Amino acid sequence: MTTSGDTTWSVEMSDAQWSLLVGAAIVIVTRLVDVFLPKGYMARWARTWLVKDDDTDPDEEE
Amino acid sequence: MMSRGVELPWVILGRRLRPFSFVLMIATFIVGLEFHLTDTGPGSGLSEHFAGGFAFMAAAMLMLGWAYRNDDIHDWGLLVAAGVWGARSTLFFLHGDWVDVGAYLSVCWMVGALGAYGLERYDHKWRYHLVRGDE
Repeated sequence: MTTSGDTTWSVEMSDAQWSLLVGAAIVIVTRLVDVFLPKGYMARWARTWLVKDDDTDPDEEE
Repeated sequence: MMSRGVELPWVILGRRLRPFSFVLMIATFIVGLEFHLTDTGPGSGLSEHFAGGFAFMAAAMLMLGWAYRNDDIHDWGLLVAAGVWGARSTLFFLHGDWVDVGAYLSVCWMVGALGAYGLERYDHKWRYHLVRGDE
């Protein structure tokens, strides 16, 4: 932190501290997305575009 | 019918084998050693020791999740491992330069761990019938 007349704030972090912050952010953000995604429901667009739709079961074809 | 998650039929000591989690555990453990022991790499300060500690913790959670057949512990291990690899890639990018191969490999491990976490969570939702299928 530096002060010169007006108070200005700056975060001085080492490379290692920044990397720790990034690692923690990856864990926290991923967990939050997982927790707050609606449960028991899959959006139609996700079902259409992100999930393979295999109508035929190889075991039932015979 | 929508596709469901497929589990490998392989077991060791009666426990489900997850090949990716196994190699992730070994690789993350090695990163823990790297952060704690090496002088040539970026492993010297207190922050690096923290990162190394998280690496050991992630490896331990992956092992314990397998040993105790606990999917929650295993999933947390995947997530913490992703954080460790993300931290390592950041450190290498900041510490070195943009042609650091180790940084890009760390990104690959991070993406793999996050993908495995997503697959495991998705599988749990199917397994416990928390997601409605085709209505």
